[in-house]
Amino acid sequence: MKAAIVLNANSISLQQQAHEIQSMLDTIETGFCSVEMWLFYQYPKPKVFPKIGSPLSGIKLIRLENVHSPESYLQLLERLMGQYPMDMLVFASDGLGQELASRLGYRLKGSSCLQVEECSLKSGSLEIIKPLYGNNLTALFVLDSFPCCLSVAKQVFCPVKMIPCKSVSIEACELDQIQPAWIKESRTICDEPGSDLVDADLVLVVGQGVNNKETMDVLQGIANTIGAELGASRPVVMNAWIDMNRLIGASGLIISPKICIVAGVSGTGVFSTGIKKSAFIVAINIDKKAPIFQMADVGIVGDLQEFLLELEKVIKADNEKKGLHDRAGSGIES
Amino acid sequence: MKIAVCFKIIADYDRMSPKDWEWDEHYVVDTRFVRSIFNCFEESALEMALKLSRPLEKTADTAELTALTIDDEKADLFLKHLIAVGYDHAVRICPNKKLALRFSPLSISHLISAYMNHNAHQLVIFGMQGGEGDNGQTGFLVAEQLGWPCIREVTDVIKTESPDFLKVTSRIDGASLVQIVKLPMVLIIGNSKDSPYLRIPNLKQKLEAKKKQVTLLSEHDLKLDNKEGPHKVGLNKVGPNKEWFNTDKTLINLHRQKVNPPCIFLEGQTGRDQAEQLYHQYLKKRLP
Amino acid sequence: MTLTRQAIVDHLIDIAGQDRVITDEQVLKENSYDRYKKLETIFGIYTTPIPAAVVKLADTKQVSEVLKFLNKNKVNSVARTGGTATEGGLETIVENSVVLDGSQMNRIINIDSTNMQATAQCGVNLGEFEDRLREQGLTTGHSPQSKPLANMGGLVATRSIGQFSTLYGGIEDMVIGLEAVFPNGDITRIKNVPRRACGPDIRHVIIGNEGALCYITEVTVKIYKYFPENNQFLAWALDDMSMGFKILREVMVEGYRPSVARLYDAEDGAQHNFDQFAPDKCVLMFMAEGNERIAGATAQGIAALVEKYVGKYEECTPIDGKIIENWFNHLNWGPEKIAQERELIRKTQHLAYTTEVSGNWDCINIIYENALKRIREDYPHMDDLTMLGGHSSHSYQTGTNLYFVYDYDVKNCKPEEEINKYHIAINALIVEETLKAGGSMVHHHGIGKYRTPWTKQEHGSAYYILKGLKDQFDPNGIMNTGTIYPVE
Repeated sequence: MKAAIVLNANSISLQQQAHEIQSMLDTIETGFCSVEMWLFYQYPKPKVFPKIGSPLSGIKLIRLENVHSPESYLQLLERLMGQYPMDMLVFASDGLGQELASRLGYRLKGSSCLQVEECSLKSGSLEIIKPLYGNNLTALFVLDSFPCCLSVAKQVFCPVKMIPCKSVSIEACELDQIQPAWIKESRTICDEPGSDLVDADLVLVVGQGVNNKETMDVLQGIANTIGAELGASRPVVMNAWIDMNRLIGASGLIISPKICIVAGVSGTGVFSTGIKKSAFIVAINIDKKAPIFQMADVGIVGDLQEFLLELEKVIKADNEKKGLHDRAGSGIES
Repeated sequence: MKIAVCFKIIADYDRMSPKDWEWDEHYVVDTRFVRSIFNCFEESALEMALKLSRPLEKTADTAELTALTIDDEKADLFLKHLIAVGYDHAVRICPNKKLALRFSPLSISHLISAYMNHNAHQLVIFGMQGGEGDNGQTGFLVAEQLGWPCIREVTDVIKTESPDFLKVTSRIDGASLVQIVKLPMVLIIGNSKDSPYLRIPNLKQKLEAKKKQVTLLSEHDLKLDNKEGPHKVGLNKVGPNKEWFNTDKTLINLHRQKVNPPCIFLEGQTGRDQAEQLYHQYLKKRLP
Repeated sequence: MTLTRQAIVDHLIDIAGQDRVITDEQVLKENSYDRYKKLETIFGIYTTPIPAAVVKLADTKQVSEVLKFLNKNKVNSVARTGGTATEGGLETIVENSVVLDGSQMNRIINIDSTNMQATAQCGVNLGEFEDRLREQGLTTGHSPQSKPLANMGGLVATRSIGQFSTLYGGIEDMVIGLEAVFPNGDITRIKNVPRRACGPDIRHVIIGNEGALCYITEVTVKIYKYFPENNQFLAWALDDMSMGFKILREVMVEGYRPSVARLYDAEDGAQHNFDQFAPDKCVLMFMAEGNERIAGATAQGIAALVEKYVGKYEECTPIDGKIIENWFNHLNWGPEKIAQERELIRKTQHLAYTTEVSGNWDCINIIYENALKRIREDYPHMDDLTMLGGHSSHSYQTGTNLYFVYDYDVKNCKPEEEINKYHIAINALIVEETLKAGGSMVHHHGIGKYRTPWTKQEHGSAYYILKGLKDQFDPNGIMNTGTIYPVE
């Protein structure tokens, strides 16, 4: 069995994507004979590579002229598979990974599947586990044909390191590329600098229970005071009360803070995927029967703004006490 | 310009309680008692197509809109609703009920492509994911089969001065990509803040829509009975052997995550009491 | 001499303390209206005068002191707890009104399972009250759609009714005793006895007064044993409303008391997704509740009664009760739903309103048909309507109620003009047809401030009695001016 991991060296999420791919590979009980990395890049040629847990049998560097055109990737991947046939190709969890897995699987007359969480080899066939029914269930599928093109599921933020890979053979591939004729113009608008949401130890996630933009501003203030990052569920983001890059859930970020305070969110399947890996979940909701309480460790039934304002006061008071104590301890006059 | 939007209604899973998530020997979860809805991405797609075809300023070239689904008769209500909000045609492909299409985006895409081959369109729009399988692949596969370009995670699309080109904004890695692209093409809609909901028809429009017909098509109408499929038929073949019906994967089990231990509800006369309890008993030791 | 705004505030601070007198502008704006004026307030337009202050009342004694002060100085007051009123009853239409907020008087005083009564202060949230009772296997039986948000004071003041009324009755059937404060400061307590004939039933002076006669501070209601495990849902699809009313009447007259008895027309049903299983049909539904034998007998009896029609008329077909049960469990207004509604209105300028009335069995279908006909023929902006229909949800031995429901797109009209162009105009047509046919113009929402033009017509010669109460208890006219009693 031969597998190749397909990544884009210029992606801002490269290290996280590598982690997600490795998480999926870790679930395969019987190891593959070999795992290669196929790394697309624009200039300059990469000198460091994402650290993959599985031993790599080689790295192929493929120069890409048009990094925004999936067609370009697909052409090159088809040619590579012609020269170096693989049984399995593993793509990143993002939109590009999903598109490439689906389209390449079709072109190669193999199987493809997205949001793959786990994978195993049974009697010569590949079995995968993925979510369905709006993240309310997971399913076990057997993939009928090879090659299998998989896009992995999103995982919590845990980016891998970048390392030189001195002991691995690195081959550069220069392949001719046809530019897509159907794009007349193209420009990118970079997002505002990313939030520290995925890294944060303490996250406050708010939902429709917030009621309006003015309350959001109050909650941002509370979050700042208590040292929490602010995230939100889909209805809040779609109301434009907060940036899209703070969306928590299956189609947004998956977080795993030490403490996740989730306020005014009812807690459906799609949202819960975003926070279920948190170490400790506190839920605040006015409805005692809200599904969010089924995944929380501690629950408070009540008005979220009133409660969070009280919590802010408590934390602030304690911090001030600590500050006084520290200053007293260090001999500084208070 | 002729635009087709493909959709599939789903059960409103948010209205299901934990005990409702059971399945039979065919891995079917009974959702017949829950209302059906559009999924959020397809709802955006349907609204965006309406905006695209009928811009606020009156121009001569309003596009012709088709709504297309593959489903049984329960989808007809939604198709009529789409006629009421302004769709020119509402088409339902009626598959053989025994065939398990829900986890086979490959088969679904064959049906859609066959329809497109018989009915020339310049633009086909899908939602990012939905249906029971949340497959997320149908749009990509249709693009492959039609040999058309495809843009995913679209957030906005508008006309340009040239009738053959559209301006499409989509999400990529940490940025928005704005492209002027030549038709024909496939668009796959992601999170669109500008078009989160489908518009609502007035009474007159609803009455007019009642008089119109939904177009029903079978595999035979799409000339698919004897078409050679590119893949071997799946392991779990049900019903007669129809080559367009191909799976590249077969479902062998379902699983629901175990229910967590019940959460501890903080008692406390006031919010202040509860906040104190939460912080000192649970949060302080966990914070850095 | 009329007090200035600041003077009012200063005096209130003297009585209640600085912490309890709110003068923050945004809070005052939010307390100048209720769920009647949706559009303009969503756009931050407040055409109603902003009150001088909101007083967060601590206890009954403070209510008395504040009212005495307001009465002496002829300052208008508006009693407010949960804020879910739908008829403008909470609007502060007089300049420099004072909002008397009882939501902090929120103690559940006693749950007495021997005498089967429970006592709560006016600021107790019904949802919380119910949850606490249910922990002990008990219930009030009161479940209006506003349950997650409404408080006991307001629920009694508006003569509210809940989804299970056909079994449990309206609030007037549930209240045993009360405490209320009158404008002169008198604190009156009506004791808790099962029944008495000691003069007229004075509870009914207080229940439904909409803050126009007194301030309710405490309520004792009956409680019942709670048997949700015995609930049974039954439903049928019918061709028309007149058959629906006929069957509904027969169920009631035969003596069955299901807790839920509802009849939806096809248009109203469609917005509840009933068209997904009963397209273009009316839907008739029942829920049987109670101990095992009662619930069982009720369900069986109703099923047998309606089955006669299934055999006789093809237009009556059974519907799976599980569908109705699932729908019913998602009906209530949580704060999330209300917030979502406001955002949607802001984005789409699309609104939904209701006008609900009542009538005897022999005129209810006439009211239904005539009101809709009148709107379709006489309302000039029919093109803007996206939905027009109705349903019955509270039935009695002698008749039933009727909810008219209408949705519309606001077109060519400023936010503050919308209510006149649409809701008030349509409401007027419905009220006229209802009164013409001999029905009542308001079944349970209260007159509020916008159906006062018809108060005298509604009561006829009995208005003499209603007016007498106002003359007696609020001679200075400081209790929620403009509510129930038209401003002369």
